[in-house]
Amino acid sequence: MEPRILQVRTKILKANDTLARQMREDFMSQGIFVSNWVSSPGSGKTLWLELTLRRMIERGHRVAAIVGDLETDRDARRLERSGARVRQIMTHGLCHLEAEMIHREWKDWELGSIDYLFIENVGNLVCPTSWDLGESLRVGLLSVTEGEDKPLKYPGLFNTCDVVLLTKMDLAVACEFQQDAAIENLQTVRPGVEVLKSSGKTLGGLEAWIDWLEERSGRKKR
Amino acid sequence: MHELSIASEIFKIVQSHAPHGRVLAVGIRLGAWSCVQEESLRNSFRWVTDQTDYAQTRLEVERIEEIWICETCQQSFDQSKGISDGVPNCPWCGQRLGLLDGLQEMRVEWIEVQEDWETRGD
Repeated sequence: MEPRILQVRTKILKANDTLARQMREDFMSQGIFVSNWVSSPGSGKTLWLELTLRRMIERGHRVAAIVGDLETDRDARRLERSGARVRQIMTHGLCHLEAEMIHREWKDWELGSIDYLFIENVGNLVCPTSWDLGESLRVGLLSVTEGEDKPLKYPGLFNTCDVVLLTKMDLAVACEFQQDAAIENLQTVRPGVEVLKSSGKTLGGLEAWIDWLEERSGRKKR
Repeated sequence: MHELSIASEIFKIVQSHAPHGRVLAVGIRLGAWSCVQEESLRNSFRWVTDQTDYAQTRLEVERIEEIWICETCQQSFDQSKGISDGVPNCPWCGQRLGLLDGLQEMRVEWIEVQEDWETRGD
C-alpha cells in the first residue's frame, strides 16, 4: 500500500505546556506569584535569591523556593537560612527543570500559605529555554564576569526573559564590563525587556528589585 | 542533553497517532532559537526508538527562519541577517522592528504511515 501523510501539527512539548498552563492557573487563582530564574552557572542566582527571600520575608511576604541542580542539596540548605520554605530537586544529569518536576514537589504544599514561589532553574543558558514551569515571570541573570555579548551568543534563552538582572555590578569596572552594550544586546534579542542592576556583595539594587517584584506581582506590602 | 527529552516527547506524539508502528517518517519544525541541536536530536530519537516498532522511522527536520513583526504597522518580515547584526528596520514602514515570532517553535507537523495501518487522531 502507498504511504499516507497524517497532519499532526502538535507542539512537541504539548504535555509539558498543558501541565504548566494548568499549574499557572492554579497558582494565579491562589494568588501565588511564580518566577522562574534562569542563567549560566555561577552568575549569582543563589546568592541573589537568598537575599531576595530574606528581604521579602522582612517585608511580610510568605515565600517559598524550589531549586534545581544536577547533584547535592547545597543550594536548598543555603536558601533555608533565609527562613523560607525550600525544596531541592536533584536532576541527576538532566540539564533543565520540567513542569512535572515542579508539580511533584509542589502538590503537597498548602497553596494558600504562600504569596511568592521562586524557582531556581539548573544553571544553563540553553536547555531551560523551552520548558514552561507555570511561571508568571521569567527572570534572567547575566553577571558582568560573563561579558556583555552573552545575549547574542545565547539569544534563545534571553529571548524568553521578562526581566534581566545584571549581577555582580561591584565587579563591573574590574571586568571592564560595557553596560550599555550589554543592555543594547539584550534589547536586540528581547525588545522591550526590563533590565535591572544588582550586586549581592554590596546589596546594590536589592530594594529596587524587591520594589519591582512587588509592583509586577501587584502586591505592595510594607 | 535536553534533546533526549525532546526526542522522547516526539516519540510519544508519534505513538499516540500511530500506536501500531510502521511509521516511515516524522516531520518536525524547529524555530531558529529553539535551542535544539539537530544531530543530537536525531541521535536521541534513534536511541529512544531503538528496539521498538519505530526503530526505522526517519526524522525530518525543517528549520524556521527568524520572523520579525513590526510593532508599528504589524507587518511580518523574514530576515536572513544574523541576530548580531541588530534589529532591522521594517521594510514596510521604516520603523525599527520590535517583535520576534516563531523563533522558539517546536512542532510535530506530520507523520508518514503505511496506508493499511491503523492510526488514531489527536
